[in-house]
Amino acid sequence: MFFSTRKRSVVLAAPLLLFSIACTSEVGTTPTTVVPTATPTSVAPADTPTPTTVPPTATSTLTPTLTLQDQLLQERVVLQELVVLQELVAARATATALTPTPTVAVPVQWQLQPLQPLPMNTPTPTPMAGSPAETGNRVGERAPDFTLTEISTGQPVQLAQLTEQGRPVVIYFFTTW
Amino acid sequence: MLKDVYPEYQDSVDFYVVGIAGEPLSELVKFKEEQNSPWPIAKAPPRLPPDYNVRQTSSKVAIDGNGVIVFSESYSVEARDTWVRLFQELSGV
Repeated sequence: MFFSTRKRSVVLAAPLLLFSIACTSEVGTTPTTVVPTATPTSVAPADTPTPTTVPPTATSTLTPTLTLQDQLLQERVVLQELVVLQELVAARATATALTPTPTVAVPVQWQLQPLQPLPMNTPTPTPMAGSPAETGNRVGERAPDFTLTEISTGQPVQLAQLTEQGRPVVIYFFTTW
Repeated sequence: MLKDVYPEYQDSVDFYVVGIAGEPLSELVKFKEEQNSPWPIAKAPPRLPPDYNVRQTSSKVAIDGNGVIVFSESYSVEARDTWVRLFQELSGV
């Protein structure tokens, strides 16, 4: 594709180049040519019309040649630009083809989980004031062990040590606010 | 009322007042000074209220000398007779 287009461009450009060179040499020699501007005046009888010939001036004869040369030069420039563009496109296509985009397989790690009831939707029984459920009436049960920190002395107080001594304990829960 | 009862039984019953809301130690100290509390105030571990199923302030839990829960009551109107009866039963007086 790339080489065939280039060959065709060269084939097309070669005659144009030769033709443009020929035109350039013709233009270069043209100004040195002296075109006679004097109009031959011939004395003719009055009854016969005088033939008037208008000689071609240098300007009138050079103008079509220069226009054609300019067109050829422009076409050649356009053709060269096209060739350059084709080369760029071909180079870009080649580079893209050499570095294919890797396809990474992303594993699907999620799956649907069964819905769990929200804690707020779980009905919580409202016990009556003073009922065993409200007070956490664990009367008769073994008291869970705990260790307090007495704020005046900073000493730990463990329930197990108190019960080993046979001392009863009263815990009063409060808030400072 | 409790202040009137406590001095009589403080040698026979270990009475501790603990914060239920996780108050910092400095706040407990300030509270003790402001209230001029004669009983010890202690900082409790966070697990203490739920372990005893306590969810309200002014709740009381009594444990006998064998480590068994013998009394549990949530918020109630403080009555002198309640404290007297509780301390008498615990101390065996």
